[in-house]
Amino acid sequence: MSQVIVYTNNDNKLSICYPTGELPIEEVLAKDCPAGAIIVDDSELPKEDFDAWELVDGKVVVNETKKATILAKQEFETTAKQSALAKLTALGLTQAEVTALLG
Amino acid sequence: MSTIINGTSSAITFPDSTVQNSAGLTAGGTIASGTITALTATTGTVTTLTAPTSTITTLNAPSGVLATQNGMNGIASAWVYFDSGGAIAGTAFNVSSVTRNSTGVYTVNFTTAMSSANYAVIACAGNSNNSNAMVNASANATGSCQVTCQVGTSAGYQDSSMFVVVHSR
Repeated sequence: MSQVIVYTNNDNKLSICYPTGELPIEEVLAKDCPAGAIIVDDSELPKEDFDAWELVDGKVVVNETKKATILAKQEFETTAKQSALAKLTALGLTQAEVTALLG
Repeated sequence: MSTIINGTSSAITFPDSTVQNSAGLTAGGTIASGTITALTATTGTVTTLTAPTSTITTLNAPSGVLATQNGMNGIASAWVYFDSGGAIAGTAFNVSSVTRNSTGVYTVNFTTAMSSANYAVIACAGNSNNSNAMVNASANATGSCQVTCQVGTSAGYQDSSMFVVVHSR
């Protein structure tokens, strides 16, 4: 069981700091993290949906609203990409040209 | 001035040098083809040690900048290999921690800061699934740098294991 440091960053997202072991975790906390950062066991962290994590009462939890928003945005981008793909293919662009444009 | 040498060495020569009891051996002398078995400067400072064709088997620096950061030009000043979550996957040198700020956005924090922010960062994604990954290094500060991973032309970032090497004077 190892320990990590968590804090809410300037983008209102959760940052998770992994010490390498070169310095004691207390020194890493003071040197690399802002005020308000706390040390937690990594076994207490959620396993998925990192961008929806948030710090509530000293525990890292998944914000379900944030998670749903992220999933909706991903779904929207996928749908938009598929639509664009269909239009470009209909124009006669090759697969390589479409991939270069859309990724 | 008096110099006392104990032992059976046949010849020890310090041409053009001065041996002072309080200041040690000052610059100017040359040991042309000899071997220094142990050079100890318990409380002193070796400002410049020139050994053009010699081999230094072990340069022991238990404390000070050499203990946590290479002081030789051209040698990496820091490196780290971390997994897609930001946890340290391999060895690290002069890196105190890696912070995952959001998906695919990581900050590498140095144990001993670079002398300036004008250093070179070499980074690559280690995930075989990200064969077309674009890795960007930015926000260089003396104490940290940021690396990000982007796949294709997607606007979003994607997690990936990363190899990061820093070269600095």
